[in-house]
Amino acid sequence: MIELLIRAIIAGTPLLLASLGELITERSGVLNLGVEGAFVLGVAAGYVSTVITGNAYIGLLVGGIAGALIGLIHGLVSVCFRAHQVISGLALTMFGYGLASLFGRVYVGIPLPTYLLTDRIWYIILVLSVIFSLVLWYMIFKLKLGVIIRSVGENPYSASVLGVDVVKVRVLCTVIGSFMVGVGGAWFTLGYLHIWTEGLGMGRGWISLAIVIVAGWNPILAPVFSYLFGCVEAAIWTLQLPPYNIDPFILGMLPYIVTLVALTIFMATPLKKFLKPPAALGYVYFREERTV
Amino acid sequence: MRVSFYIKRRVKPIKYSGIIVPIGSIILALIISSILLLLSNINPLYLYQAIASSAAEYSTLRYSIPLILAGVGLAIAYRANVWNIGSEGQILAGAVITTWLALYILPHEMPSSLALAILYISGFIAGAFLALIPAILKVKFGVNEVLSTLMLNYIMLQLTNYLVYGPWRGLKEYGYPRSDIFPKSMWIPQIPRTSIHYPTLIIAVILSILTFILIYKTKTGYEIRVLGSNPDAAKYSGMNIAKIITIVMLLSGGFAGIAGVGEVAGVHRQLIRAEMVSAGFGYTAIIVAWLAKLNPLVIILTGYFIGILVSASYTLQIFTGVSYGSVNVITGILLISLISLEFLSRYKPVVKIIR
Repeated sequence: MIELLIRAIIAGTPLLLASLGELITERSGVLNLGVEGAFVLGVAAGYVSTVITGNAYIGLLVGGIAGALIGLIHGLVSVCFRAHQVISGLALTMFGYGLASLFGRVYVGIPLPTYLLTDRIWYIILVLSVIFSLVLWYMIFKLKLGVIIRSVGENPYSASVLGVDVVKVRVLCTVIGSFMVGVGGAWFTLGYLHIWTEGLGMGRGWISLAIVIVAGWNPILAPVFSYLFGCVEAAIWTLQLPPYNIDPFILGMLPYIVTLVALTIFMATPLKKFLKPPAALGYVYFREERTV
Repeated sequence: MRVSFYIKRRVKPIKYSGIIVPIGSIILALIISSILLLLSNINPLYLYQAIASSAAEYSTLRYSIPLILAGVGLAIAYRANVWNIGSEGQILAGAVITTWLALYILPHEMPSSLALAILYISGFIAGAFLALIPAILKVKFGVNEVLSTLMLNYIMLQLTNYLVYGPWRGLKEYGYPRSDIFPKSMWIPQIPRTSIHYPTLIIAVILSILTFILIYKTKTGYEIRVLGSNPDAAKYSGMNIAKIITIVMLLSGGFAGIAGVGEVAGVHRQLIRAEMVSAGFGYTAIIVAWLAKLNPLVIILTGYFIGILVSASYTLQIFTGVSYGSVNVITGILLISLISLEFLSRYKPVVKIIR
């Protein structure tokens, strides 16, 4: 039982990092569907740079930078260029997938020289992640910085009148959020799976997006759902083996079915009244402009 | 001294932007992709060689068929601001139902035309059914359709692979993860010496034309466009928004389902691994639809072009050994440059030095 719990925490940490990153982005009113691409690219960048440098912390950093790159393009295209956020995000997910396969292809099969010893310090990780979520909650709901971010996500026009540079805040939140997603991706391989194959981490970005929604855009609830999904992953691991011997493909559906059910429960019950999305989430911000 | 940067709206979009923007974005995408290929030690000339050889070979049309079908379906949904990302899963739904009918349900000695008609219709129904789930979740509970359709893609992918690795694995396939070959009567005929299954192509073109008429000439189409461009107006004028959302989801899922029928009954003649039945066609179709500015007739053209690109990516795989997934770089950049140039054709960035 405790084994399962440890595995759940180890598997859930990358999801937590990614979902907290996406949460910051969405609080500023930017829907970043590039989260999936940033995650997968973060996995590849983290692995490749760890193999090259032999230092897993550099791997985490490079993974984060790779994610931030995706966020920067998303910010430029969907905030500055006012393109549709859904289309821009999906394009960046494809881009991230492609870049991960292109630059990671020569590293398939090369073992990781070093990795993060997460299974020995799992309780520290658990405590740190809860503290981190609390700090983020305090920042978003209690500090002036958080008020600025939320104002841009709730009503960018009023925020603009009050002197907030909406474009700057949104782009910064997207870049910082995507950095965290990238770190989550790198952690996924460096702290959890220790391998690299093409397409590793696919689908995890979407799951962290779903965690943001069921956590009601609230950082305090994010660890709960991240570790719940970690539990599902750990359970899949166990259920494949005897005495259960359940087909791995059937089990592979499980995280997605759980996500779909969780989303539906969240939306169908009064929960959504307490945990509302930012009002301007997904809306492109147009300031009035001169034509001459 | 201060440098100020702002964006100014052009009085009119730049001239011929309808042509310059798509072509410009293709050129820009090829330039950036070449740089990235160079950076990863691949000679970008291989890319151009692959594109040229695919463009010269008209059998590449085989890749355009699913792209056009799924793209037209997506165009209907996107017109209504309904973000169906689930074509990939809906294609697989069509493929799975076809396999089930062809191998286990329909009598093997059946008149071919009747069998194919049944396959196409049930493929449509299967795709539409898979799209109905997110439609209901959205209408009833307000579940975001982007996430629900994505989740269903992964569920269908796993289901398909479960079937070909497990219960449906062919007895004559030497243990490979694929089903038995369909009986001959269930084969969609091809143009000789190519893998272009022309009945599906004809259906795709007809559906594009019908969809054009639906969107621009009918009352439902008008409602779809109003919902897409101004949801408030749609609500206050008393349109049945739930009905429109359901209709567009059913149609776009159904069209993708037909594409799935074509892939298994027209090309492979058996069910194979999900990643090979639909190698990202459902996602690539998003680009096809967007490149055509959601105009169903233009989708025939953009579907043809992107079909060449898909085919080129297989050739590139043989030339250089990069995996099929790497080509996502090109498609991703293409879409990003398209939406960026679209903006720049209407707006002008200005850099001013203020003293």
